[in-house]
Amino acid sequence: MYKGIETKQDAVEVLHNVERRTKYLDRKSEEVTHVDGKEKIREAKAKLKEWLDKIKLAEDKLNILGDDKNDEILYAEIKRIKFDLETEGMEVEKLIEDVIGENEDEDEKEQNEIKTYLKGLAEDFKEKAPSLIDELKGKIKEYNQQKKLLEDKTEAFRKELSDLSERYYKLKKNISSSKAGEVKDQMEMKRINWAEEKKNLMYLVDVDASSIGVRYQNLIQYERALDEHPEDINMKEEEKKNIKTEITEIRKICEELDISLNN
Amino acid sequence: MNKQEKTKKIEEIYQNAIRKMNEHGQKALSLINSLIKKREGKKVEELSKKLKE
Repeated sequence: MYKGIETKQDAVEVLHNVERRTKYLDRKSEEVTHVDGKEKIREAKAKLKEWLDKIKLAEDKLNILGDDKNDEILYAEIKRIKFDLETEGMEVEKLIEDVIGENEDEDEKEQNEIKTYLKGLAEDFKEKAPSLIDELKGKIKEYNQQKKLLEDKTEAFRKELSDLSERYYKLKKNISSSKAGEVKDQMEMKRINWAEEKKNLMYLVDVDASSIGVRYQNLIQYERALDEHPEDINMKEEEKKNIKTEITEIRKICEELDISLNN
Repeated sequence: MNKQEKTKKIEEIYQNAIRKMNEHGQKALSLINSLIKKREGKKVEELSKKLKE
């Protein structure tokens, strides 16, 4: 049964699951086809037939010219080579089919796993999805506030530095060099402090972005459960429709924010 | 194995099989042709012998 995000470990697990399933879906979306393999088998068989036909023609010509007991060793050698040739032609089919078959098994196994996973999400949907949406909305709000704070503080710093710089040049030009030195020290201090503060603020923005990223990817999985296993979701059709609309809106917001798991 | 790896593996198997089939085929043909030449040479020899007689 699927577990919601309660601890950092849960988030890591969700991330791991999402990454694994995203890779799988990418692979599936590449439209794995066995046509190439089957085509290669046909080509190899055609090549085998081509050689066997050439050899048959040559053998017929040889037979017309008569038999010779002294050449028995060579006949045996030709027979052996023909056997090797035919074996090669038959083995290529088996080897290629093994590669195709191996993938069919893996795909089927993974597909079943995904189905079980999504059905688990569908069963938990009513309980987990709405709260996940609320959490996401809250996190998006926090993220926007944190980002705004960073932007405002950056702007304030630029303004203060610009003022100090102006003051510094005025002092340096007109009055005393010691006063100008003090202002220059102030500017330096401001830069150092701001660098530290900016680092902390950016870290907080990153934390919020990661937090959204994890929940967003999780929500996408719930959306898939809703799309693919609606019969397992214990909700009214109208509620499902509303929640789908909410997910679509959040998806749009997150895409605009460009928050991914890399954040 | 993903699609790319699968395609690569199939291509390897195919190329290897074609290479081996070509080797076997050429070797068999070469042996048969050498027997044909030998047999033809013998026939010519027999015919010229008969003509002389």
